[in-house]
Amino acid sequence: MSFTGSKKKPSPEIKQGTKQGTKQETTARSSRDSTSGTGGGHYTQDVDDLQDVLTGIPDRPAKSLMTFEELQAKIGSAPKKNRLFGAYKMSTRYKAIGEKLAAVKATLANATLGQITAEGGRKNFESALNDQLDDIVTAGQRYQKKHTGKKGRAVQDLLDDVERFRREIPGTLDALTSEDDALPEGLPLDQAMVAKGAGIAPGKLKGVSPRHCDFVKFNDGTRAGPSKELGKGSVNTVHLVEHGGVERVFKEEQQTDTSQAWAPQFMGIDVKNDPRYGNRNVAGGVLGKLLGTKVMPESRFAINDGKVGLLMEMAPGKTLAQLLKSKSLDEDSFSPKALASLQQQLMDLEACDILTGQSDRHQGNYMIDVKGDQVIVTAIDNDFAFPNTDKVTFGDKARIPLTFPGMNSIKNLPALMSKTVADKIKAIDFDRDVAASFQGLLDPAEIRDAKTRFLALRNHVINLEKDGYVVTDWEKWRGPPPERMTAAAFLTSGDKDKTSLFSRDFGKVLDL
Amino acid sequence: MADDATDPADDAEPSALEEAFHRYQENGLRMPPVPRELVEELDEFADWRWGNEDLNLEDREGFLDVARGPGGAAEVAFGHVGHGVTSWWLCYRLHLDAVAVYVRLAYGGVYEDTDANLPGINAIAARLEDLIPAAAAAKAAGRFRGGHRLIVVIDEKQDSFWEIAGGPGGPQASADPIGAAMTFLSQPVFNDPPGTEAGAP
Repeated sequence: MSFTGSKKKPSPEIKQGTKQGTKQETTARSSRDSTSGTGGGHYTQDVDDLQDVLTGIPDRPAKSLMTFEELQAKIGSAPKKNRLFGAYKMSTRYKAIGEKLAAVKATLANATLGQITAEGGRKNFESALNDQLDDIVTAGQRYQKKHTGKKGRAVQDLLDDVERFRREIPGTLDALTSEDDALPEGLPLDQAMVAKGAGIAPGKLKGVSPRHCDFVKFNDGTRAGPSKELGKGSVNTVHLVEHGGVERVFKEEQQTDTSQAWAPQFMGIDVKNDPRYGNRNVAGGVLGKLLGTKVMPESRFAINDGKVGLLMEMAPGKTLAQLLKSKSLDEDSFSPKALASLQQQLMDLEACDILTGQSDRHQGNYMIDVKGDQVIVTAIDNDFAFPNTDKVTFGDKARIPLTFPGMNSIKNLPALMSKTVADKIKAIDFDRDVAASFQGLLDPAEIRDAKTRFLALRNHVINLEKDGYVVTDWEKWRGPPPERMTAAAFLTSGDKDKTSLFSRDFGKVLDL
Repeated sequence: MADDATDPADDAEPSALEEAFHRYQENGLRMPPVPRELVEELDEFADWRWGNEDLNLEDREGFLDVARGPGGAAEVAFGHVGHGVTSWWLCYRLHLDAVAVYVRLAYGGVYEDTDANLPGINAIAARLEDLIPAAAAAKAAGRFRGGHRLIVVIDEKQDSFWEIAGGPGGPQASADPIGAAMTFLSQPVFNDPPGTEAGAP
C-alpha cells in the first residue's frame, strides 16, 4: 500500500492547514519521525501501517510550519513597535524570527508543484528552503540568548517544529509530486499541502484555477464550527461557513452542469465537461476590482468538508426579486442620495456584465441593501459569463453586448457611466492588466472575446465622455438641454434606454 | 390475517407520481397537476425532476414555440432546477390540447425567503387545478374565438402573460395571468377577443 494512494482523511483531532495539533500529538509525531530515518519512503510505510491499525494518524502533508501568530500566542506578546519614527528599534530579535518565518511561508506560497517537478527544481527548492529554515534556527537561538524562561521555551517549540518540518520535507514533496495522484502543476506548494491533507483528489481540482485557491486560509481546520447547508429542494451543494468571524457562502465546484439552462450552451460553455463556473465567478470579481467597483464580489476557492468549491462573502440585503415580491420597494424607498448611489452601482454592474459577457442578470441575481442614504448592490451567480464566440450556438455573435433570446443579458452599451469606472476603463491596458489576471481562469478564446468587448466598451466610453455622459455626481448630473433630465429620468427615457438595468428593474416600481 | 402479515402492496416500489407527491409534500409544497392520461408515463429523470418525457424545464422559448402552433403531443414535466447559489427555480410545463402552462418560480435559493414564498407557490399550483379543466371546457364551448389553445406563463425569471394561441390579441402581460385567463374563459362567447374588447383603447 502506498502512502500517496491513501485517501484517508486526518482525524478531526489533528487540524489541517495552519492549525496546530496539541503538544502531545506533536510529541507523538516527532517520535514516529525519529524512527523513520531520513528517507521519505520508510516514513511513508510507517504512516500507512499505522493508519491501518490506529485512528488519528494524519497523512503526511497535513501540517505546515508553526506560524508567527502561533508563536506570539505562546510567547504571550507581540514584538514591540519601534518608537520615535524608528529612532529606537525595539525587540529586533523577536521581529527577526517573524521575518524569517514569513520568508519560509512566502517560499511555500510562491513555489508551484510544476516548479518542483521541473529538472533541478526540487533540489534548488529544498536547498533554498533548508537555508531559510537555518535562518529561523539562527534567529531563534539569538533570541534564546536573551530569553531563557517561558519565552525561550516557546521559541524552542518553534525550533523543534522547524526540525520536524525539515525532516518531513522529502516525504512531503514525494507525496505532492507523485505521478499516481498528481495535483495541478500550477498549485502553490502550501495550498497543495493543505489539499493533500484534506484528501482532495486531483479530479476535484479540474477546472479550478490553482492561482485562486486559498486553501491555507479557508479549510476545515480554519473554519469556526460546522458548516450549515443552505437552500432548499435540490440546492444541496451550498453551505454557510465562517472563518475569522466572517460568514461566507461555499458552493461546491461541479465538473458538470446539470441545470438544464440554455444560456451556457448558447454561450459556448462546455456544460458537460468543462463548465468552470467557479473560475468565471472569480474572473468577474477580478474584473470588478480592476474597474474599482465593489458590485462584483471577490471570490476564491476553498476547502469545506473535504470538498473544493467557490467561497464568496455573504451579500447584504435581499435579491431585487424578493424585494419586489414582498412589495418592499416604492418611489419612497430611496432618498435622493440613495437613488444616486443605486443608479451608479447599477450602471457599474452594466459595465461589468458587458465586459464579462454575462447572460443571466435576472432580478434574483443581484442583491440590494438600503440603509438610509447607503445602498449596496452586489451581483451574485456570475456563472453564465465569458462566452466563446467560436462556439456560440445562437444569436448574433458579433454584437456587443451579446444577447440571446429569452436571456437576461444587458441589451445595450451603457447610456451613462460613472467617472470612476470610465477612468479605469481608459487607463487599463487589457493585455497587461486584464489578460494577465485572467490566466488560469479562462481559456484563450474566452480572453480574446473579453478583449473585443473591452475595446468596444472603451471606444463607447470615449464617446460618452465627449458627449457629457460620464457622471461624477449622480445626484446633480443633468442631461443635455433643453430637457436637462436627471440621471433617473434620462436612463428611463427613450426606447433605446428602456433596456438599461435601472430602467428594466426600477423604472416601474419607482414610477419613473 | 396474522398480525405480522404484510400487504404485498406495501413492498411495491412507489410510483413516480407518489415519489413526486411525497417530495413536494416533505418540502411543504403542493404538487402541480398531472393530467390523468399522463400519470402512467410519468418518470423521474433526475433528482427533483419528473415528466412523461425527459423535457427541459428551462426551455421556455422552445415550449412556447410548440404551444403557439396547433396540435402537439400532450406532455407534462415539473421539478426543481437551477445553478449557483440563488438561480433556482420550481418549474412546471404542461401541454394539452386546450391549454399550455409554463411556470418558473424562484424557490430554494440561498438568498430567497423560501418559507415566506411557499403560500404563493402553493396557491399557483391550486389555481392551475381549476384553470386546466376550465380551459378545456371553454375550448369545447367555442370561447377561444378561432384560437386553438390557452397559454399561461408565470415566470419570475422573465415575464408573465397569457394568450389565446392562434387567436386575436396576442400575449397579454399580467401580474396574475391565471386570474386574467380565468376571467376571459368565463366571459360569454360573443365578447371581443382579449385586448380588442369593445371600448378598449
